[in-house]
Amino acid sequence: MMKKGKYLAVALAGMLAIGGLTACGSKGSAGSTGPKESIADRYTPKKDTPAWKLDKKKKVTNLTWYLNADWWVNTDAFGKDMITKKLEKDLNVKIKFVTGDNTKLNTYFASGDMPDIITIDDMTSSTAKKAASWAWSLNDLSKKYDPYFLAHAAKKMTLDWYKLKDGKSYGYPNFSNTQDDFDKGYVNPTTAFVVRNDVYKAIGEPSMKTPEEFLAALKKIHEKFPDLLGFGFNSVIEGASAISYSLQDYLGVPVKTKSGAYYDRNLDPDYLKWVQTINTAYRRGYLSDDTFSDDTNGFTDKLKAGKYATIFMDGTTSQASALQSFIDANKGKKYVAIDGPQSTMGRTITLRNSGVSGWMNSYITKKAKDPAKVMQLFTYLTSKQGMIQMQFGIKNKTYTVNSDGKLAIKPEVTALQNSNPTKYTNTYNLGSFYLFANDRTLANGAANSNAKSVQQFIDWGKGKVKSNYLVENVAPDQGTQEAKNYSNINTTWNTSIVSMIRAKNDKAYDAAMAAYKKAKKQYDYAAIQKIMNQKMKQNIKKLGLKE
Amino acid sequence: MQPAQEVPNRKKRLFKADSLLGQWQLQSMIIPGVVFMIIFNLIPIWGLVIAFKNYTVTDTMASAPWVGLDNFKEIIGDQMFWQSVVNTLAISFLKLLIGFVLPIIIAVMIFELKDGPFKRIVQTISYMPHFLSWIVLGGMLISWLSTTGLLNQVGEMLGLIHHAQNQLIEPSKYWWIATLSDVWQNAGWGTILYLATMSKIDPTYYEAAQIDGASRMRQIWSITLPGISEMIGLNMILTISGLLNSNLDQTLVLMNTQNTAKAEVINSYVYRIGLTQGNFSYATAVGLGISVISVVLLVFTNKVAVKLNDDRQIL
Amino acid sequence: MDNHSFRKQDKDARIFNFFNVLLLSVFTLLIVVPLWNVLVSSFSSGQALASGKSNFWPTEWSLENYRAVFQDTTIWHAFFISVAKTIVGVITHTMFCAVCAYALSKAKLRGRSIYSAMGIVTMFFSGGMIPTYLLIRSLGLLNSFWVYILPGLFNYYDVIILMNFFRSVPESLEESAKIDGGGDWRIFWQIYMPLIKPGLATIALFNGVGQWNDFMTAKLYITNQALYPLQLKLYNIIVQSQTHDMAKVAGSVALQSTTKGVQIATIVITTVPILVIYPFLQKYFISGMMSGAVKE
Repeated sequence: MMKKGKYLAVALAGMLAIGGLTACGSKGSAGSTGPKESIADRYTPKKDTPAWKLDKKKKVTNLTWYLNADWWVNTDAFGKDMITKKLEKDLNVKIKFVTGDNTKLNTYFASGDMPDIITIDDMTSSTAKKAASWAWSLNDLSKKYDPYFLAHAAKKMTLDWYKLKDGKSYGYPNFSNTQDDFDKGYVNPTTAFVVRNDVYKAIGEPSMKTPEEFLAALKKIHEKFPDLLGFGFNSVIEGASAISYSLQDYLGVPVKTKSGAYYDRNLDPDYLKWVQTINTAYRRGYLSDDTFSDDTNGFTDKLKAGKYATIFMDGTTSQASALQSFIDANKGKKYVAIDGPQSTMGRTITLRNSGVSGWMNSYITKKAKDPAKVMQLFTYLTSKQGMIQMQFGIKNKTYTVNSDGKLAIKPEVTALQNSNPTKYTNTYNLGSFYLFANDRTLANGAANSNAKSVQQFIDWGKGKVKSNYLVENVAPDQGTQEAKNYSNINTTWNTSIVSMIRAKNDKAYDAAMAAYKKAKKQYDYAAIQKIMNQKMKQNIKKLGLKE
Repeated sequence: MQPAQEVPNRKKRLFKADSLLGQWQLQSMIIPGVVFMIIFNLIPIWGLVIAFKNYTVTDTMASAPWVGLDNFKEIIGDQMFWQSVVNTLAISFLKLLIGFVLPIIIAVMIFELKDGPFKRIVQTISYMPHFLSWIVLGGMLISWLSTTGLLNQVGEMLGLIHHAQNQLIEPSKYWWIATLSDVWQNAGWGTILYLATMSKIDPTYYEAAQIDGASRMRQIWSITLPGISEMIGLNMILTISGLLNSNLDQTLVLMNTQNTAKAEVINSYVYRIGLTQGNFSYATAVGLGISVISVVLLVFTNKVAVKLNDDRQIL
Repeated sequence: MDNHSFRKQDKDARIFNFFNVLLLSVFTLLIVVPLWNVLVSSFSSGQALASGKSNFWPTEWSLENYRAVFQDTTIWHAFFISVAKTIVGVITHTMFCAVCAYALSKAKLRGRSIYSAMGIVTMFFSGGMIPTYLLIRSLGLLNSFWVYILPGLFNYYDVIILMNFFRSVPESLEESAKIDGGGDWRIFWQIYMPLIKPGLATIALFNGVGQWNDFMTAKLYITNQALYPLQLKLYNIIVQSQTHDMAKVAGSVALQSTTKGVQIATIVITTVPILVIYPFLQKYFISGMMSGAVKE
């Protein structure tokens, strides 16, 4: 039709006009050996001294740091409190933060206006895989501008893990735990089975390790405390990892089969025995349906009110303040960690924390105006001294050193944190800038540097935390058909496991289980497993793991 | 009214009255709009090409590789996608049945009220839910529908509910929850347009009808409703063409692992599979498909509406 | 008319009014009760909310939620930005759409069907966020106050609504004006605009609410904090309160009381200004605006 033709022509003209714009969004040069900026007039790099101490540059460098994390708090507070102020002074920089999600990230690539630093949290994404095209390698940067980074600051196992095809490392993560970290006991557990101490005492402090004992204890609780919810766990509305993945670890379910293949732990008989136990508990009324529809806030609110008698809790440290609220409002009552559900097959309990992958990776982009300065920033943040500063502050101002070498936060700092959070954020803000933080650093803290409410949970879990390098990052690559299938299988599992726990009779239970098995077949789990096996083999090679 | 006469000082026309240049004043009124549309709408439209490419986060529009119709084939072959289509249509139909009719009825009722404080209060209160963002409304709903929530409490008080139940857990209830909460949020707001239109109805019609002895219902039927029939028609056209859309904010908040089978709608599925995983191409392809279907629905419904409306233009 | 018919009418009117008021009261109650719950919760402490106690009256009265929101003093500046962009945006948008709608409402407009087709295309087809971002960037609107105004000038949906209002004005008015030698602009401004006040008020209200609530524009195009609108600040507060169990740092305990309470406080804060403004607009939606109508 004439009309359609007319505006199609307009659109076409528009398209041609925009052709010019796309020319601007070109990618950085691939395969270059490093940035060209010279530091000849500023300093000579030395291996044993961090370059920031040597740099004679007078002018303040303005840096833009993009975080691909919408939920990051207080980006404008950076530079106000004493520790970030010191950082900016030492390095002679001014940092501005921008947060966003994948779409915002994409606008940088599409327009070519890259910030100096980019932090992303998905190392399996194509963005991370293609880092060589848009970021400088830390190897090149360190060699040219700051050898101290490679020699002293960065962890070797971490860098090795993140080597791309060209053998170089581009991003550096936080909370990356090497085997050494695990062995030395630096890594704290974040999962625990906890009970309310008053309730536990009232029912005679029985063991809750076997399915029968578990149900018996819940029965007593139900009789004595009908207003409380017998058993609860973290929010499962976005994913049921709290009662699948975490529980499987807790029960010591292995991650691989005897022949070394990837093991679908969801179908492990020991685990399923416990699922049935929980289902029985549900049928007897010890669980509330609200547990399944609560979001994280709902879970936190229930913690504050002490609504649950027993909890299988993930992420204990992030619930510390909620737990403290409960303690404050109810004198003498608190949650304590006890030995919870054990494997019926004699397996050992395993607690997890982040592995060598860590959590969020930071990269120095090719559009950084002063790559030397950014490299210095990375070194500062990864060096032992820098990490302690970001976590504990300044010696004798915010912390003191104990006789056993541990760092104790000064009581007035903690007091301010509790009484006036805003002032605290603007004055100290210890530990909240954790983009380069590390469990190893946290371990320097004296015993009371953990939040009081969860200290006992951590103590209970010491020695039980194990690494899980074999299956780190083995999921299919983002964007592939297998990745989509895997996502759909997991969605089905999330629905099934909750249905199984809420099954009113055996028929419903079996139907939910069958739905999961059906989804596995429908979405070709076998192909996914093949990929995962391959990646497991690569992990072994990369990290020199024992088979 | 005076018959049209030749007025002595009529300006001599440079161009024919109805030619393009003859109506230059009128054209000058629409030109800014056209310029705007070209700049802000038509120029970016070329971005739809990524529906035919494999575009990831690190690509630019030009650098992403072409894949032709692969994205569409992937969508059509995906069973979870079709499930989301079913959910979308089901919820949209329910919203059409209830959410479309209710504002009309309420608008008429409000219109029939005598002017006064009650009328003002009803109007103001009815608009309030519209301002609750779903981030917050969703959280409220979760707690209202929980076993200790408002719904169960009130229901037990009135004796309608005997055993407190969490409503959001049951997949079968989801369509109703989504529809009714949406209606609750927007019914009042939807009356605005109708009330504005009604205020333009010549009051002498009502006076004449009263003199003729017509009942209130009759007046509503013969005067008020026809008075807003064009607005109803317009809304109908736009609502039907939007059948494949859904409220993403609402879905993301109310959906949980239990009701996914009934809650996942097209745009939430695309959000999960497409945007959060950086599959922009997939998301754009779905969007393109929906747009095309929506325009078809629009054109069709418009033709029907125009026919029923004595061939008067609506769009 | 005899007395009997009048009395019948009176009785009929009374019954009608009775049911009308009754049903509308029920409707209003259905809205008020949950909203009252919301308001009350915002004044309750976090503890009370957790135990599900406060439903009809603030349990454990507390202003901690509001304090948590207002402790960030930049929120006042953001409030000012929101007010500014709403006022400027609404005026420019309504005028721009009205002008276009007037022209489009005239069947004799040459090329009308093309313009209309273009408009419909814009309602359904969009290139997506990335091309739009590139466009905004090349227009120099990134980090500029005008990014709140310029892209929002035109919306075909609003144009359609205004078109229908323009069409409801009797053509005879235009004819007589034309005879008196009036040009289209003058007729538009002096005759039509005053007559479609309800339509203008509606569009102004819709657009005003949209401007007030919008945070996506700032999120995508503004990095300069001085230009952040109120909604973006509130959005950040709410999103951050939903941080998953990701914060692993033992020492940094969650700082603010960011629970349901704060979320609710932010709605109350957002909604109140609109509810304050609305009564001033309401008069446009009450019957009898057709004063001085042309008698055929």
